[in-house]
Amino acid sequence: MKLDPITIQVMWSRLIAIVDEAASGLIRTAYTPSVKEYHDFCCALFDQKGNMLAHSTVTTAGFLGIVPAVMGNFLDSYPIDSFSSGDVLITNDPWLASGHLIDVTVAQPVFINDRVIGFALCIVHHLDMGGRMATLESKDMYEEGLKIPILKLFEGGVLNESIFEFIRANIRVPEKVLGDIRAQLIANHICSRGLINAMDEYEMTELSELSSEIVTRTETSLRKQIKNLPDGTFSNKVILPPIPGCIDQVEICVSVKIFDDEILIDYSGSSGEVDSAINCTLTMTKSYSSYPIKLALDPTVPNNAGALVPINVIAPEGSVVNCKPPRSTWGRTMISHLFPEIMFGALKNVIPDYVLAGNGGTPANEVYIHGKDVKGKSFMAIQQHSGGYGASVYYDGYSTLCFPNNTSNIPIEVTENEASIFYTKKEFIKDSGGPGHHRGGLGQEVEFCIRSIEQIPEGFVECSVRISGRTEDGSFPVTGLFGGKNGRFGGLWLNDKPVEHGVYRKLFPGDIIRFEISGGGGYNDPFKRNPVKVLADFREGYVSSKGALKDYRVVIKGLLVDEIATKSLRTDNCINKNIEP
Amino acid sequence: MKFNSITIQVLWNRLITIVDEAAGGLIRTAYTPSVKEYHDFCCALFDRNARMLSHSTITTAGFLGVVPGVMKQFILKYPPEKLDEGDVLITNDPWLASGHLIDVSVAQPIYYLGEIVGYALCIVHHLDMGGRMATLESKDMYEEGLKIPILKLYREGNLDPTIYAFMNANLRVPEKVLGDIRAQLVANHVCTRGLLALLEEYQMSGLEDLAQIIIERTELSLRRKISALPDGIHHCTALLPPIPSCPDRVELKAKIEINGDGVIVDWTGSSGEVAAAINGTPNILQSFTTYPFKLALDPNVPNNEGGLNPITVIAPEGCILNSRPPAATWGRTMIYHVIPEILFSALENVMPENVLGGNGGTPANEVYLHGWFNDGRSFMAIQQHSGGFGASVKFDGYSCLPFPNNTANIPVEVTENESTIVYLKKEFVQDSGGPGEMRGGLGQVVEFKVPDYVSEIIPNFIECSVRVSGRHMENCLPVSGRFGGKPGNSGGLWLNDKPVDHGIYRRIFPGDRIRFALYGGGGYGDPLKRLPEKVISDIKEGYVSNESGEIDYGVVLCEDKFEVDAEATNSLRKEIIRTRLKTMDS
Repeated sequence: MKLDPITIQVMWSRLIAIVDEAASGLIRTAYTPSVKEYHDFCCALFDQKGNMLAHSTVTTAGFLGIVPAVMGNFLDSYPIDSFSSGDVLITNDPWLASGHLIDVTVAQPVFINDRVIGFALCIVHHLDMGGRMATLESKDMYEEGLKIPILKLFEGGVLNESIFEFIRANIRVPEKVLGDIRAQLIANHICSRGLINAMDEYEMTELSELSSEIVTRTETSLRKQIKNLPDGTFSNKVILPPIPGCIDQVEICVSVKIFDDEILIDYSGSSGEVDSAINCTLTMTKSYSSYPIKLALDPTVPNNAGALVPINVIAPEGSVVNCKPPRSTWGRTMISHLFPEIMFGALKNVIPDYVLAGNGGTPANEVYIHGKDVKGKSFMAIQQHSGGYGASVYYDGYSTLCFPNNTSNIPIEVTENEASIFYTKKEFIKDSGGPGHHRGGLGQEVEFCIRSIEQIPEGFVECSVRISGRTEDGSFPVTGLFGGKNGRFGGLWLNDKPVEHGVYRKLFPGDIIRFEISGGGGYNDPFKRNPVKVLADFREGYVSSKGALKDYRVVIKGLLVDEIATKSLRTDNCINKNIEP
Repeated sequence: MKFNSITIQVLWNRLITIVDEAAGGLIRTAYTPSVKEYHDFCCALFDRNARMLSHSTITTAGFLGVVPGVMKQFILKYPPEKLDEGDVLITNDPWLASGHLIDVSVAQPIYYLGEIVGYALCIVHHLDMGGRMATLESKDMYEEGLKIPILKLYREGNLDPTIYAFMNANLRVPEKVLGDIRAQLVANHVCTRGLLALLEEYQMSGLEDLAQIIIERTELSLRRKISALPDGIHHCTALLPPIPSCPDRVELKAKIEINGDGVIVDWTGSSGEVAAAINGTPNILQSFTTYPFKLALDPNVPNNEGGLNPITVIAPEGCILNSRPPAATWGRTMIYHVIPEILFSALENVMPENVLGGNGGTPANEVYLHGWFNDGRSFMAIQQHSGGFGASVKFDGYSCLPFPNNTANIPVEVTENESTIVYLKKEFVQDSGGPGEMRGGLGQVVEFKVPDYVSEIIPNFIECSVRVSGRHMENCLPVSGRFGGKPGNSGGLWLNDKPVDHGIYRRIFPGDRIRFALYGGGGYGDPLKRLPEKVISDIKEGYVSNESGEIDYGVVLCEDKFEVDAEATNSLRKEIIRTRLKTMDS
């Protein structure tokens, strides 16, 4: 069967629609807000060789480069002829799957006429996997919780009850986690059904021709974009802010070699693996390193295996970006979320129009709360609050939008309903966006309080709050680009005292946690920003009059710009003159 | 079936031989010294109603009262109608089994002529169960490692590979642990084979009648001993030394009611569960509360279900002795090992001739080492060193013998072979035995180091946790002497000669030296009544110094020869008594 271009496009879109339908199935049947609202998951569809053909558009970006590797690892353990209809595979092995135990991958073969024609796969970031709760302090994987090796969760449609028994026995909120795993089964079921229906409709019995078209077209498209770039090697080196519980200073070195239509990303020279839970497995490093290239150069072509081919990622074994078992990995996004920014830093002069300034919420904030409610029932809630998006050549950064993880906001009402806390503050931080011709998005300040002893009879809740740890004057600020200034604000306070982030802590009735998440970096010279835009920012409360004067040299009187004063200030040659009012 | 007295005794002994043979099978097939040398395990045989009939004599005493509870939990989940021949059950659930994850229970039904006639069970303390390695710091069970719920490890002779897959994935040294679990299967197999041979030989179709007799006789014997005690209520309270990483101080309180031929021990009033790994669960509480009574009153009758029945144990749910899931339990012996001693203290006037002085190694020392050899293999080793045994009415305490756990010593050569450490010292501590008419056994000092060549190994450190009794801290729970006997002496833990917290995770690097001292046992009776010849002999052996001979025992040596100066001794002893009386007056 020879496919014509129109059929290819229709089928290609159909495959994406199928995985997005699977994602909806997951959202509608999952138990926990981190799946339903926060969308920390992915659904993907593969051909019979394990090539990824479609990836849900509702997802976190980090999974894009991971899922092909996971599927490959499944097929290494269970070759294609070892499957029967009704088989389901499962694992959360950090090295074979998505880099930390708390992500569970579930996949199944799709059968047509008793032949495997493809696979459906779904990864979810779960609430808990036992072990030490949500902390950077874990010294090895064994401390971090239950590892599920690659196993058949179902064999010929029959559940392996032992796996559910182990999960039930070893995690804090098993009913929720098992509920979410069942939702993953549903997602894969929808994906399989969708694929079978589509192939029926088009009278196809196998995917290989379509698969080859999709993958090749995507690959060719990205190669074309890379070819337009000048050949050369571009490097960047950053020292990460101190990681609580980690004695070593972590340095990431990258060199990006562009050669014809390929890119080689090399992390040689980066720090060795460490004793705290921030180590990245190679699949994780690959995913977040190839993603920014695709994003910058070829964002409109859908994501599939083809987009990964032109980009090679290498990292020395035993380094913090390619760690060996049994290193601890829970908070590996403390490093991997930074790869796009580090990559953009290396390539900013090569593709100045495609890079983003730093994002204030990178690495992503994560809040875990575990306790018992009045009925003695255990609750566990994950929240995530975002910093300001980085500005770019055409746009201001969005306020409180996350990057690169692409997750959504969990409404505070949802968390208040799930956990024994109440919010006292969630608001933009004025002047937090990095000034620039385009301004970085605003960061936010969040504050919550632990409910009274009547509502938590145990007298405490367990809590971990992770923030980026980046500060404006630290080793790795939220970078502004081309004269744009760095994003501002950041920190974590317990009852108004600054405290370490990312560690386990017991909180008691009345305790108040407050944290600030930085604004995004600005792009280009802030003195070139149109005073009208600065005025608009002032009127919205994004920028103070003092900030307008100091950062943008725009003089605001009342609700208007003092144009004469602004003009004279901006033409003033004496750049370093003190301009405090 | 009717038995005559001789047959009963023969069969009873045979049942004990069967479990000891099973223990022999375990020892010979296990991979790790903590099983082969240290004997931290038990093998037991049950009738079809899950009543324990015999328990291996090689064992740690803590399991005696545990196994009946474990077996009952197994058949609660898998009653006979849900079992088949060839099934094997497994669990390490602290609340259903022996109180911490690192002990794995494996049991199997024994079929004869198509019917279940009994069960074989084997518990082993393993090297590792994942999680945070061997530390009192764990805040809940989830941090402590892999929990294996009650599952069928084998179904009709077929292995459930999922269970081994989870253990392989979650343990630091799975090949060793799985080897030891297979040794447990061997033990149960030996036990099963032994019982079937017995049934054949005596043409019995079941164990019920024999079981009834064994249990009744054992129970009756203990009840008779209890009846001989005066009725009454006794109280004991013990404030335990601070537990590293635990903000709360732990106090144990018991009300002991002797009433007719039964005893009720009520722990109401003891501290609540804590966020450190020292919490207890029902089976282990049952075990360590009943054991001291059986031991003191009726030591010669073999251990079985009947020895537990006369003693009722009460503890409110949520107290440290009866914690709720998911409390952390790894180091629960920090609490339980102390129980026999504090019960003996409460009852010393009720049964003065049956109690022991405190044991210097209680709670038991435990050393865990995890590291790497230069060929990349990882090792894990458990060691245990004992303090001095408590003295009793007729005997000095043995030196370096554990109580109440009854485990054996692992030779230092074995540990040196299993790990990269090197011992520098393992010797008696002079004067550590509590002085008394009967002297407490001597404690010991142990020192080991990480040799320099470890610096060439990756990683270049050893993960290490050393737990001692903790009784050196604040001196709040001295190693009890009895009836004028003095407490045992000297304990502590040092890293490179600096005192450090015990029972917590620590990395040690090439050149680091770990030293710890374990107390001597408590003395029994007034040391001034000790035969001077015995004191001289102790001095000759180096157990007691000349100074202690004089100060504690009032024994003076002749100036010219190694003999007692009888006259000087007599007058010194009188002088000491006078000083004592003066102190009492003031």
